[in-house]
Amino acid sequence: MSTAEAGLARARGAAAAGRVSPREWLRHSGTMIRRNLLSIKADPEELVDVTIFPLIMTVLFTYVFGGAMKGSVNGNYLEFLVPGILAQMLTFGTMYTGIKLSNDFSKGVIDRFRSLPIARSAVLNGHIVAAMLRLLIAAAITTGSAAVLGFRVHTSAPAFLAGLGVLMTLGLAISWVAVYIGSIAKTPQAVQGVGQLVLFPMMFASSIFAPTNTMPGWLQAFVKVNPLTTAADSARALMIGGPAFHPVWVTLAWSAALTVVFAPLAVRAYRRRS
Amino acid sequence: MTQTRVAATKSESAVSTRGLVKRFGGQRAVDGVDLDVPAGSVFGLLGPNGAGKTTIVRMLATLLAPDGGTAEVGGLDVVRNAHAVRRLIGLTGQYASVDEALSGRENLYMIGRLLDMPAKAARARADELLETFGLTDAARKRAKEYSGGMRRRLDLAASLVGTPQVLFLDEPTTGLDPQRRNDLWGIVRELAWNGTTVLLTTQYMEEAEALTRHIAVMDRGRIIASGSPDELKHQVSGRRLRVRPVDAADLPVLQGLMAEALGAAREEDLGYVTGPLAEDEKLNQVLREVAAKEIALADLSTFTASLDEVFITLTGTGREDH
Ligand SMILES: Nc1ncnc2c1ncn2[C@@H]1O[C@H](COP(=O)(O)OP(=O)(O)O)[C@@H](O)[C@H]1O
Ligand SMILES: [Mg+2]
Repeated sequence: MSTAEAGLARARGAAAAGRVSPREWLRHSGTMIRRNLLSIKADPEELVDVTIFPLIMTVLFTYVFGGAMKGSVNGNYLEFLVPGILAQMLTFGTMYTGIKLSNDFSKGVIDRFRSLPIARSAVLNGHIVAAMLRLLIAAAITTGSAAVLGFRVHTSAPAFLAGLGVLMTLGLAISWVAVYIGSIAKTPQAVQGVGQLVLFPMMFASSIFAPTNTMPGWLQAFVKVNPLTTAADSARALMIGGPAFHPVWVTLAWSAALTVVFAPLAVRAYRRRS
Repeated sequence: MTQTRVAATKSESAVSTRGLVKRFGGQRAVDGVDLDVPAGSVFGLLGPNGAGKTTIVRMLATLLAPDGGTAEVGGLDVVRNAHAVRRLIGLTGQYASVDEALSGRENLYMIGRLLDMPAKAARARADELLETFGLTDAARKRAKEYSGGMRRRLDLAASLVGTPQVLFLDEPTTGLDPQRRNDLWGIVRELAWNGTTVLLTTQYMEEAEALTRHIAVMDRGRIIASGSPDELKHQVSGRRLRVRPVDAADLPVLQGLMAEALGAAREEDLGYVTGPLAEDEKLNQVLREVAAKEIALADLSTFTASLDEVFITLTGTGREDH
């Protein structure tokens, strides 16, 4: 058998089995990531929720509550707030993934992709990786603007990056939840509705905006286990200083648990939806 | 491509289904459908809303798993060889499915890249298709800003990026104005001329007649008739005889004798009587009796039922107003 014939036979075998080579898989996923990034470029509004909104909150909270909070946050509310805001971005930043996926379903784009000979996972890879990149861009913008307001990292660059890493790990885990909701919800508006219903309480019943020690006991019980609390505390410890081990450990445990539960659920829901 | 050869050796039909079934809840949306679409032909799947056309197309395009029966595209099973089938097909769904956030050009380029074209080739193919579909001026505009007709054309272009061997068009002209519809018919003819097998669904007999010589009429999940437009016409009502007397007072007598000779006859508008003409001999019989009764005729003709009538007779749509 000549090399060409062998190649043909191999190609035919792979095609019949529905396999995609690792290189194709990479290219398909890459094209999908590019697609999502292009849509951000075309529609910068997408970045608004994860940049302007956190910025407004940073400025607003710093000037409105900053003075009153001085006593309870060791003098500098901005330093307390910024790592919290970075954790807060994980919420709406990942909810977007669910909204965009749901939009793909309702616009028929998923049908188009499914009728193409591409890796089945490429669409989800594209959404999730683009979401992570969007979060990183947003984190850079937020940190940069906060620096203008006077925010300084007190630890070290590696510690700061480790803090971002912990946040991204949780963001990735929450993305699976978003993909799951995006796959089962009938409309993008429903995803947004469910997202806000869950995210707003989680966001405020956390240590993102204020120290938790003055909250009533029943609330503290929830706040303590809220992954956004541990994420904010991790970021604070790694960027400003303080004991990092416990919050980091809990945040990573949350990330692992969410991923283990929701990644399979999300993939199954995505595949099943017709 | 390798699949071409696999396909050609396995089957003469580009698309073939046997006993295809799809249930939604308790309802059989597709209820035992056999189809054979000859390679290189344009095939029309004709049926009223809810007949099951889209469901069939979605199964053939590997988007929906059948609940029973088999379906092959290019000789490849749509369930077991779904991935290989996807290399052969192009799909334009009933509703345009383009990424609205991207420009027309970006949409087509993206699909070229997903089909493993080198970047340069994908860009060239995108520009070529934009040109073909009259979208060059809007190439850089986001699809969100396109009109409905432009979006449909972009959608069709998207399904052609990979030069598919089998193209599924689900109601491609619904909602297009007559000019755009004619343009699209031209494109379908050209594709067929170049050897693409096209399976298109439509609710309009006119469209099926304009584009295809192979029609299957669907209703409530079943194929109720199939054949060429001529075959369908004959299958349903064959030739008819139409006669008009000079004096309208003769109409009842004429109707009576034609009913006797032809088995059925009815008075129609403008003083005509029509009846089915099963064999030529019946024509002479009617003429002899008309002569015997000394009825003066102003007009006499034979004709074949229009396809719209065939469609209405077969599917029962609009039967109430007849
Ligand atoms: N996803 C679905 N879930 C439930 N019923 C469906 C679904 N898709 C189609 N149907 C039903 O199946 C029947 C056939 O639908 P369809 O294939 O869309 O018909 P057509 O395309 O000929 O108008 C209709 O009664 C429709 O309501
Ligand atoms: Mg339909």
